[in-house]
Amino acid sequence: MENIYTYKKQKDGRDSWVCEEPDGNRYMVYEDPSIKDKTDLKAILSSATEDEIEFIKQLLK
Amino acid sequence: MADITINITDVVKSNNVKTFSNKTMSYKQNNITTHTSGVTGYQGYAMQLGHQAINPADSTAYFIGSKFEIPPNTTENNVKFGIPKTGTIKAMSVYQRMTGVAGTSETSTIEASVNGSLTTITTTFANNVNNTQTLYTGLNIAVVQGDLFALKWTTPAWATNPTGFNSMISIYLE
Repeated sequence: MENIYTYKKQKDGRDSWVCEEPDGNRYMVYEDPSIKDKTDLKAILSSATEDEIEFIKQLLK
Repeated sequence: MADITINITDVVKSNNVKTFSNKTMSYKQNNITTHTSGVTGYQGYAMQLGHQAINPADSTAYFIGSKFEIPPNTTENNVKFGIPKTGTIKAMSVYQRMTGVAGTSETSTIEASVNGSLTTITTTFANNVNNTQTLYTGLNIAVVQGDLFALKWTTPAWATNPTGFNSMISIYLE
């Protein structure tokens, strides 16, 4: 199971998300978890070889 | 201090021990060193509770115990600990700080969980001022050696949630 994120706009204007983990623990995060995922992917791709990047491009077509 | 005289008249004989009768030992005052603690009412003790920082969520029941290396947890079993000596909880101090931002003024409830049985300590705990201490006195919560203990913190629905919340908690028992 994956974490469940629920959006909440804070009174002071910040974006936030309630993160609920599969074990029931809950806490707030203040960075868009979907952007974080893209950041992680970018970090992975930054260390990939040209062949690996080309392979991923083919998969995404 | 007066000299001390001890009369030995009633020693029971056992293996290889002689019986003494009507013997007297005297100690002069200048041979006696007296130690006093200078402390009265010293039967009490304090328990320390704490946790890692958390960005708490709305309307959530967290448990806080002596598991200092994790944030407040929604599972009591992950943080509770054993009472070392039978007594009565008399007071609690909570020092809180937010490494992020303070929240708005909605209030939380803190309860003592003794073997899962809850007693309310306060319904007015707030996270809207950073670096503050709150004292709760006049408590009367009985605990028995070996009871399993934790604090249950039920958060409100904040307009703005506090972030990076830490609390350093001391509970005094007699």
